[in-house]
Amino acid sequence: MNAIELEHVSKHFSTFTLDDISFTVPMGAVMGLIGENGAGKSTTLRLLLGLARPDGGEIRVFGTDNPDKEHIGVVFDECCFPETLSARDVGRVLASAYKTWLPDTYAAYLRRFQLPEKKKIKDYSRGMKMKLSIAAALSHDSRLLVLDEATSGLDPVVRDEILDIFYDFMQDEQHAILMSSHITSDLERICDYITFIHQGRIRFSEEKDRLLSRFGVLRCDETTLRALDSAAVHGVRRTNVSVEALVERERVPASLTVDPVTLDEIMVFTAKEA
Amino acid sequence: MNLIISNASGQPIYDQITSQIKGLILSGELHAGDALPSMRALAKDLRISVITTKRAYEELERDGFLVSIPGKGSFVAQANLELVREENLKQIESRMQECIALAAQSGLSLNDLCEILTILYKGE
Amino acid sequence: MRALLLKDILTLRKTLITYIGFMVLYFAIGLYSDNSAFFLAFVVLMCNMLPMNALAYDERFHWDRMGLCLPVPQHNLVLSKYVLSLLGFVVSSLPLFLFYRIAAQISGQPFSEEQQVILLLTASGLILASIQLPMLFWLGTERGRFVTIAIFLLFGISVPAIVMGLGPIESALAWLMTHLWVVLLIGLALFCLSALISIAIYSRKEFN
Repeated sequence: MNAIELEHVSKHFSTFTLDDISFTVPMGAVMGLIGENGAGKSTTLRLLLGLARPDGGEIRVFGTDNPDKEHIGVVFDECCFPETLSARDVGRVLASAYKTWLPDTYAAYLRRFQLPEKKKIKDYSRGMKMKLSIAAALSHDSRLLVLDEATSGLDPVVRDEILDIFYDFMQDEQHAILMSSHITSDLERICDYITFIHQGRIRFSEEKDRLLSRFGVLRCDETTLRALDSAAVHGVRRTNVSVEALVERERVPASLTVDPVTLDEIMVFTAKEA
Repeated sequence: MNLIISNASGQPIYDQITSQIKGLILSGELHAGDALPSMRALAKDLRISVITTKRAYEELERDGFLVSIPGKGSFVAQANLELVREENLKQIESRMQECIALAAQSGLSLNDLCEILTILYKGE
Repeated sequence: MRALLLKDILTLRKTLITYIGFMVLYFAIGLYSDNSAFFLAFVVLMCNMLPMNALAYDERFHWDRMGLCLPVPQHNLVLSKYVLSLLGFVVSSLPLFLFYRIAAQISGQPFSEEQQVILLLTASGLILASIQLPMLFWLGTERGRFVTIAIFLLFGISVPAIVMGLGPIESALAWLMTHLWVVLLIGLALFCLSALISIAIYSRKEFN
């Protein structure tokens, strides 16, 4: 079964259009939604979570357009609990909201993240707020975790802790994660699939490994670049002294040295091309 | 079990896993019947995606090095000597290819190469 | 629903304590000076401030996003604010009404002026809330508050003017003053209607 299915989803705003967004997140998989700020990642997630209505297309979670929210854990870029509450208050509120609330799990996460129970959220650091949101999202019977820019602005140590939590969560094949980010970080290590949104459209959506092995960075001169099959080149970055191009490995002569590419580089090059 | 994954090598990660596990089996470090970590646990330990470990395990299974029992996990297959020999032969060939290329660069003849090999094989 | 109310009450904990402090103070002043109108006006104001404060906190911390992701029906996010408001009225007006009712009973009076004032103010408080809440849901707490104030200023000027001009309405009002239960019922009916309107407004909203 698929955790998430989006089919030809569109949404029009006065200054921005999200156009024909389709992708699938299978159960047991982790999808990374990447793209620069304002590319449409957050809008896509809002549509998915029912915070906004699409103008067209279909959205299904757990195979239905009206999924049981008991099983969806959501973490937003900002902590969405009133900051006059404490972690203990949040626990009390959510315990009466979720039938599947697990008080012991929540308490264990608070201990693991070293979050003081009685301190008001407004006195937490950004990292602590994010950890609280994650603790809350994982302390009911979540089978799908949706994270919107949740990890940007966190230091590497915290990101590593969170990555561990995600791996633990994904030990169950019936779980799935969809996370959006405008910075590709060490967290993308866990991603099985990557969907790249640019200016409201999907540029590609495929297996991360395949993506990284399909593309490479060619560092060369203008003449070499011009000699290449134009279909092989997906973006060029020129400086006074060098030319770098994002190329499809299979479409360039084997004699050229093509360096491995990172997701960041794919994002930068592709954004330049358009 | 010890696996070392490098992101800089350019060799696909699933390929690094398969070749290293094969190596461990061939060197006798892993024995028939030994349980391997689950795909999801291995992904966590190596901090890579599940799809990558899945691909590696599927490849190892296809090549007869692993047996996967649904609900139980993956185990090192009963040693197939023929298979082991074949795999070793493949590796020897590929390394010899490298030697030949190097020899050609340095202007060494086949006789020179054979001589070096003989000396090395006899352990001086 | 319980979760949403609990969230509002925990969020407003400090505000509530301050309000209760003021209430006790005004009540004491009212008892000594034998004039509780000031106190009652405060209660009505407070009960209207409660949902507005709760909504302001929700807005500031983007609670709606979180609320809509909880396994609670969407209309409960709206209704909880009405229940909060109603709770405020019940908790503050009812004991007071009973207090004066008993006091009147003891002194042998069937219906004291205080009880009348309580009914009138509770009813007008409900009407105020009925107009204010849809505005807050529609326009947000910042603009919604101003529009509500504008509406009341308009009413404050125009209604007395109309009443002065038209005799029959004056007599109708006089009748209402002697049948304050009807005013209270009208207030409650408007309150329910207002809730339905707010739910409709909220279901059309989209969140960033």
